Amino acid sequence: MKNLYRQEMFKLLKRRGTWWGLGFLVLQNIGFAWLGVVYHTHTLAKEFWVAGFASPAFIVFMMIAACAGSISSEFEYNTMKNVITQAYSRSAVLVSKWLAMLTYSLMLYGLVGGLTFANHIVWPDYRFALTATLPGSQQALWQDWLTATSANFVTLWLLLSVVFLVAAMLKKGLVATLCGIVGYFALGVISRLMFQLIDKWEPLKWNPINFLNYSVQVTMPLLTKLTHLTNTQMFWGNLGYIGLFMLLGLYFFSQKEV
Amino acid sequence: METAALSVRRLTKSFGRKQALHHVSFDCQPGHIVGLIGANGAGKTTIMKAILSLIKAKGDITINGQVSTFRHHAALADVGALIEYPGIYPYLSGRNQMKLFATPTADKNQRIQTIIQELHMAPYIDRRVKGYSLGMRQKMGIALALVNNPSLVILDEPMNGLDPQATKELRELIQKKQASGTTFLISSHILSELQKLAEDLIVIDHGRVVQQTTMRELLARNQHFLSLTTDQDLRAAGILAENGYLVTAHAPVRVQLRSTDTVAAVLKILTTYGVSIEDVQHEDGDFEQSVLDLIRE
Repeated sequence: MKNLYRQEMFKLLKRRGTWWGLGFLVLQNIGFAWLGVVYHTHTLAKEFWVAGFASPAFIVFMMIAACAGSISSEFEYNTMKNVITQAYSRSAVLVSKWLAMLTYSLMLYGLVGGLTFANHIVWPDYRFALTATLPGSQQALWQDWLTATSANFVTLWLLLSVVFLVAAMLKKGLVATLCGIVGYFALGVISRLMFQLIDKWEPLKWNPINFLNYSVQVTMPLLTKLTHLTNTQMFWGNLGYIGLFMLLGLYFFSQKEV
Repeated sequence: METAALSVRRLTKSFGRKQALHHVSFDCQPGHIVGLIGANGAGKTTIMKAILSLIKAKGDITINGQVSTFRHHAALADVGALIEYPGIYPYLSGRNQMKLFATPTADKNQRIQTIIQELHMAPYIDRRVKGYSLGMRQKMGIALALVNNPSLVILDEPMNGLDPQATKELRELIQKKQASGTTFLISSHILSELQKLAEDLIVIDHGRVVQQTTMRELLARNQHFLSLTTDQDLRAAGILAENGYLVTAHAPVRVQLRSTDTVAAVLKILTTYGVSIEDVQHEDGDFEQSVLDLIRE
């Protein structure tokens, strides 16, 4: 397993796209912070800082592409044969890919976190006390940031577990990527209808799309009236669905002929 | 008895309703080069894929005494393979490709350097594989199969895309590895190449093993001829025919050698009759034809 993980990280770090992605994220984060300063009448500095200058949204797209590609590219390059014909089981191969992607996502969140705090130090507009509170919030700013980022990370992995499942089932990176992106945007499109249906039929609140609201709900507690779920339920529900989709992916991948 | 490097028993595989393999059984003895021969679609690649746990198949596969299955194939740690066409990451250099799959031991870099030298890949090994030619890619695939010094190497059409020089180098490398104890299972359409390499042969037809033999045995089944140039070809042909030899041509004289016939006896008769012999050549029947005959049988 250690060797497989080493191989996955080697491939990830040797890809130009990985470094382009990191570079893009640095520019995006600093660029958005700068835009927040230039157009300060249009943005609320504290909220913008807590939101990590919108970087988590870009991380979602980068991670969807990376996760889909980590499986589909092996079929595209015909390298899955090299990976499978080692001494390791298919399950170990997939788990090593999960771990590599988990590491990558932590790297991206770490980078964005560092940049967000760096912006707080560099730009005078963002030099507010991190112990201050946002209107309607009981927590300090840094706690709001930590809560929002953590919840964002959890919902990101709910999406990624679906991407991994589709990629393991179909071998097609494009389809898996589309599933992730459609899933990401589906929330905005169908949430109103979904909330109405949840109001009428309570058990529908347990559908996985509703759990994608977790990252928003932690910063907007009023959303709980629409999702009919507490933050704790959201957290454990996310973990449950992640586990379920991962296990399904593991089952399909372990049956895969090459 | 020495444990077989590879033992395949009752291997059966179907793709939908089509049965691709029918109870295929064979052994590969340690340190032997085994040729897997058969027409397109005979099942050669399917057998190799099943051995390598790439596809599910019924039957038993044992590698160096260790059972290997679709789900549990720890035995593949000591196996190198190139199946169909090489699988390579286009964004990596050739060297990084090998670093990726080389077992992380103390001599890893030395092993990589050795295989680079043996396959003469040094001029382009640090370039991205994306720009490699067909032959370079093929060598890359072979290098990946050999970089961990496995005891069993499975090569599917290894000469594909290689120029004559590279083919010769690969042949020499395989023979060198064999001399140090490596077992090879090789499929190739280039029978002349296989003839130069393989000691044992497994002939496959429509998913069945039609013959497991040695190259020596198969060649022994061929017809052998003696071609003689003399100062009196027509007379020489007549003399040999009168003495019960099978003469198939007169100028030059061509005699089919049966198992009881010897070259010395042929030459002695002619010299006894005062025929002067200017040249003698052996001619063997065609290996390719022998294989085709086997499949036809």
